[in-house]
Parts: sequence; C-alpha cells; structure tokens
Amino acid sequence: MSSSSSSSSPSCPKKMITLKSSDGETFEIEEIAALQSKTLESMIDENCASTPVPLPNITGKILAKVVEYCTKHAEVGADAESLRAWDAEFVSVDHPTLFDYILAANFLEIPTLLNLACQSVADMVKGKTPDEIHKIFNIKSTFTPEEEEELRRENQWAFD
Amino acid sequence: MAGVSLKCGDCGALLKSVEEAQGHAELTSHSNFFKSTEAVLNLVCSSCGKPCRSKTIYTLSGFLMEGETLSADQNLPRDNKTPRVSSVLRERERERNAKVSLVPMDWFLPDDLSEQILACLPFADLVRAGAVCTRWRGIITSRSFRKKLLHGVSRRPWLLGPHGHAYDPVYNVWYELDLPRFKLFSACIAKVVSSTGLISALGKGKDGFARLYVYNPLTRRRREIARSLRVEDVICTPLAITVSRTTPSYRVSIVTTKDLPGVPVGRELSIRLYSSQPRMWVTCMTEVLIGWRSGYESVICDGVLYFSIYQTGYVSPWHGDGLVMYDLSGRCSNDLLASFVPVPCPLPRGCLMNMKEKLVLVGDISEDDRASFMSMKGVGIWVLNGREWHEIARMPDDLFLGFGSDPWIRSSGLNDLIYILSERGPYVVTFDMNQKQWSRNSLDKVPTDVCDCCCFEPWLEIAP
Repeated sequence: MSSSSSSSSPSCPKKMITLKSSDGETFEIEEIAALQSKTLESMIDENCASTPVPLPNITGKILAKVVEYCTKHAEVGADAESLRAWDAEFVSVDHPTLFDYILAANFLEIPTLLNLACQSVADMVKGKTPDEIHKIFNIKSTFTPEEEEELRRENQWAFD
Repeated sequence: MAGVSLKCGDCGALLKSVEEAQGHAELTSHSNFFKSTEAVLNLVCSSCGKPCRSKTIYTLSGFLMEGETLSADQNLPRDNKTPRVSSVLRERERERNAKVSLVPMDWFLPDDLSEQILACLPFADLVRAGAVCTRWRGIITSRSFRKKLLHGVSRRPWLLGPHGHAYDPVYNVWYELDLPRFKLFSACIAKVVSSTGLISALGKGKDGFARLYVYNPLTRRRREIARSLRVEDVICTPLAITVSRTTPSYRVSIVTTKDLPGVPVGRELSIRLYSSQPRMWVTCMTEVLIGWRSGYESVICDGVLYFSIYQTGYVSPWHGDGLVMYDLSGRCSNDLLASFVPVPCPLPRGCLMNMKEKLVLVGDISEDDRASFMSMKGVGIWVLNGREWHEIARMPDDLFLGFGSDPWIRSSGLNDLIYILSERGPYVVTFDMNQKQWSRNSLDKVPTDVCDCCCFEPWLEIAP
C-alpha cells in the first residue's frame, strides 16, 4: 500500500479509509471527513489507517450516523444556517441513540459532535424540576427526605 | 469502556448498545441492566445454522442441544434488531419522540461526559440538577466540574433588584431570593455595586457613619468590611468591586472626599482599597483637587480603577465631565488629572460597567454635554480603547421610544450582557455584546428604584 499523502490536485481520487463497527459492518469515509476525529487523524498521520480500523465500542447503526455527520461537516460551502438546521435534525433522536452518539464522539474525539450531543441532552434537562428529570431519564433520587428538604430550602427560589 | 456490553439481569440477554437495551426493555418490560465484559458475538449454530448472540441466550431458549457447538462468525451481516421485534413495535419506536426512558440513563456515561452535559446548563438548572440524585450532586460540586465552569462559556448574568428579587434572562422570570431586608444591616443602603457572585453595598447609619458590606445574594452570607467611614454623600461616593474567579477573591475600592478648610473649591480625595486575601484595607493615594469633585460612577477593569469626576466651576481650562484612572498595582504615577479622559455622553445619565475587562459606557447619545437636565434622545454604547471611546451600538428607536418620554434609564452589565431599564418599565432591554443583538423582555413585575438595580453573575462558591 502506498503511504498516505494529501491529494493536492483536484483530479486525484478521494482518499478513503475504512471503519469497522463492533458488529462487523464496514463503512468507507473520506479521509478529509475522518480528520474531524482526532483519534482517526492521529491514525492517519501514523499510517495506521490503510487497513480497516476496528471500532469495538461502536455499533454499525451508530457508526453509520457518525460517518454521515463527519461527511456533512467536511463539505465546503455549506452555510452556517442550513448546517445548524441539519444538526438539529441529526440530534432529533431518542435518548439511547443520543447517548450512543456521545460515547462514540468521545471515543473518536470529535469535539463538534460531542458538544452538539451534550447540548441536546442538556436541553432536555433545562427548565425541568428534579421530579420531571427523574421521569425522563429514569433516575431514582438517592437523597433522604431530610436531605432533599435541606437542598430545596438552601435555594428555595429555584424550586418555586 | 472497550469491550463492554450490556446484560439484562432478568433474562441474561446481551445487548450491544443503549438503544438495543431500550428496545429490549420495551418488549419485555425488563429494567434490570448492568454493564458486562462479555462480548456480544455473532454466533451460528453449526448444526441448524441459526444465528445467536451468546451461549446464555441459547441455553435459556433451549436452542442449544447437547452436542451442538457454537462457532463465532464475525462476517455475519449485522443484525441489531432482536429476532422477535415485530414491525409494529419497530414503527412505534420510530414514531416516539424521546419521551420516557425505560433504562436508567445516568450511569451509562462516565463522570467526565456527565460533567460536559451539566456544564451546558444555565445556573438555575444547575441548582435543580444538584437535587436530582447524589451522583449528579457529586458531579456538580466536584472540583473538576467547577474548573470546567470557570473556563467554559461565560454565563448570562442576572439583574438584582432592590428588594431581593433577581431577574433570570434565560427564563424571563424573577426569583425571590429571600434576602434579609437591607435595613437589618442597621444602615440605609443607598449605593450598590456588583460583580461575579458578589454585591457590595454602602449605606449611612443613624450615627452618621457609613458602613460597607459585601454579600453573596444567593448564599445570603454577608460581611461588614468597614463600619466607621466618613462619607459626605453616599450617592456621590465612587464604589467598585472586582472579583477574581481563579483564586477566588475580591477587591472593593472606595473614593472618599473631604472639604479642605480654608480652600474654597478644594477637596482632598482618597482612594482606599479592600482586599479579601489577605483581609486588609490599604490607602492607595491621597490627592488634593481644586475645582473638582468625584461623581457617581466607578468600575475596576483589568486592575485599573476608573471613576467619574466633575468640574465644579471657576477653574480653567474647562474639561467638563470625565473619568480618571488609577492603576491599583500602584506602579503608575499618581497624578489623577493627568489621566483624565472626557466622556462622549453626559455622565449623570451614563453608567459605567466592566464587560470582560473592557470599560463600557452606556448613556445618552445627545452631543450636548450639558444635556443632563434635558430629555434623553436615545441610548448609545461605547467602549474605551486606551484613551479613546468607540461607539459600538445604538438602541433602536422603537425600543427607546417604548420607555416613554423623558425616561430615567439605568443600565448595568457583566460578561456579554447589558441590561437597560427604566423606572416606568414596562420591559427590560438587553444588548448582547457578543452577537450585537438587542432584545426586549416584558417584565411581569417592574422593580421600583431602578437606580438600585445591578447586574451580577450567580455563583454559589464565592464567599464574602
């Protein structure tokens, strides 16, 4: 295999790398899109990306979406407004998928996707009372009634 | 988390992701999941060719006959849907819009990722999040989270009203902070200044001496830092507070003046500085000024104290109103008048503020410097670069006219947000310095005495 080199002329074919999900599915992604992942970028720099890159933590379904995200964000000439709208659509998914995005973006070190997904989860928490948060995320309160009372009293304004 | 799967504690099924766990929970109503180091394999029964995931599931479902072997086949097409999921249920799952999770979500993420999510929350939501469960509270009160907040995006400051109400611009609501009434401080508070987390208040007691306080309006902790100040006019005493987020610590500066007997228009001006670390007062300088008096406004910006001064007349050359500067590190020369900077708007109707260590002035756009007794024509915002003012924005006419005729306007700002309001209401106008955007929020209650309103960033960890 030839060592990786950046394509300097437009007539060169796009350099692709192959990613392999935990369930054996393979995905091709343009190298330029893959550079959004710091993990993949360092592998490309060290010439470790010429064979399929195994990603044992990421399922095929999530990896497909991550590839879609990176490809979209590597496009040139996209205007900020339409990209924002695309991002909003991208994270309109159920909780488990959103959490899987966070884990994948963290593992692959894609800061834009990580911020986007974390902000989306934060948006679910915004404006909610602790009881509503318990229901949405199926979390049990681990405070004693006395502790809970004290917490509310400390900052009563936030719970009125 | 390499090699981790999720296992259903009720039936032993192995699942590859949170989404699969959610799907399994919906089908079976199982909710007892835990992390497992057992890998999810794509196995094929070598006798019957049926695919399966783990030995456990096949033992339970009776598919594994004695003598049958399992072989791992990594090249099988991915099948992330359990064989028993019907198309109806799949469709129902697709239609659902992220409502209730059947799988407890919070423990899927390690602490550093949970921190990243919680750091996106506005202050009021952070306080509520701290009451959700002990894990969230632990994250929010951890040192690493506080460090993350310190270096993160600057937060929208609140507006504190005179009677313990605080306006939150994120939710357009007023909170009742249940502050002790100021009169309990044994002084009538007449001047209030603020910064990140803390407010400083100056008031004159019945004994004629002024008292100076610093308090955190959220924790309600307060400290009296001076009790026997000789202050002629509290309103005209330049007072400023600056908070250092990294230490954390604060400094309060006060400029006091006294008449000089025998010198008709002479005044002795003193700049005094209080530091919280170590707790002490220092008199930075004392200077005699002829024909000048100190004004209302004072701000500490990037280690430099700025305060307004006015010419009282009968002295040439005529400078008019302006600001003087004093470097609190004491390195520069102490000739105050040499640092005089004229102002682009009449100061009685202008307000100074520290916006990310840049000095900003909000005031009347009338060019007549004697316009202090005339109606305001509009509102402009200037920033000081060196010794020159640059106008960066003007309030749109429709917003200004909404204040009514001859409004008395007060403004206060911090970080990226400036509040502008009038005693008559009926709304708060805000200007976002970052996005250069004006907006208007109706108030469901308008505070009286807008002159006592000040902007502060809510912060629980700073103590007076």
